[in-house]
Amino acid sequence: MNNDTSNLVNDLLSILQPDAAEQVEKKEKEPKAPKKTKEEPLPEDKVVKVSAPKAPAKIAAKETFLAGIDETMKSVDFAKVVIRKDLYEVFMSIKRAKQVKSVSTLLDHALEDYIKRNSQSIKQLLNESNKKSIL
Amino acid sequence: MEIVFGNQKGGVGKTSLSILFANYLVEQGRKVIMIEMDIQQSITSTRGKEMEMNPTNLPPKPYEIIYTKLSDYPRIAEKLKSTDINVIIDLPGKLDDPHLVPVLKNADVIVCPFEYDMRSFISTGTFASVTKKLDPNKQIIFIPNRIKVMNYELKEQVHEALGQYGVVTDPISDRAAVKRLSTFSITEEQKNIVGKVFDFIIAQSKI
Repeated sequence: MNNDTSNLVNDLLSILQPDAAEQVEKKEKEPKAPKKTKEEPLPEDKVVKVSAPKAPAKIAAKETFLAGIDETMKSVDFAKVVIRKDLYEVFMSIKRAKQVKSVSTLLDHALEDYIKRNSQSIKQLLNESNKKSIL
Repeated sequence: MEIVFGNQKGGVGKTSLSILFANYLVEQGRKVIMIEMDIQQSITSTRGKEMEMNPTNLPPKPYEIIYTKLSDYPRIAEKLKSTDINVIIDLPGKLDDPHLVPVLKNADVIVCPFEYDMRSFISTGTFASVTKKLDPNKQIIFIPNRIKVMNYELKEQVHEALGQYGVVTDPISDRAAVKRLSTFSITEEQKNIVGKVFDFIIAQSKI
């Protein structure tokens, strides 16, 4: 590597690395957690039995996940620009029916389903999505 | 100059082609830096493995590889804009991250590999459409990649549709040699496979 390339690399690293350095420093400054002492068992009469919450941990996690996707969709302007309203509805129905990991995967599913359902040519779809933004 | 390898679709060859392109440019005596933005860090780990396996006999590093998150791009954007070094950026395969916007907007050229299957094509079309909405003058070069046969049913339709957004290069065939990657050099066999397409990109983007 010649000088100007090394200079650029050094400049970039000096911009990007302080974070890492800061984090290391922060971690170093964090007080260490006190060592756990062995807990003495409570006497039998002081033990309060708590029943485990029924089922919904999983459901709640799913709702949180879906809410996260809704939130992401709100913030992703370009997804809104590209997806036509009807396509968005397909998207939402897929979102409800399938558990998928990312918005882009959902977008792929939605586009595929839309094409299957409407049997439009791909070219038309692209033309339409290019012309309109509907949400 | 910022040369961005991107597509919404993963697994279309963005990373492989960005490595080959970097090696190709260096071999022509051009200055290169690689910025890796895919969290998988395949380029960094490829370099790491090469250095681990052959710690003494490797040539000097032809270019530096810097990994950074998409969200950190604005912090280095000014530096990248003001250099005449070729900065190759490998993007993650997604389109649901607003941090992509400044990277796509600042790109001098966007290289977009794709395959001739339906999903890859739709994702590529969506990616291109979004990119053009961000900047209608953005130069996009599409590379049909990992092509197994010459005649694809959708080929003409695909070229016509993508032609609305940019230029489509000759295809790169699906060959084992292209998959044997090194971050240190490009082989003669690899050059024979990708050279014509890379020369086209260099001429189109005036690198």
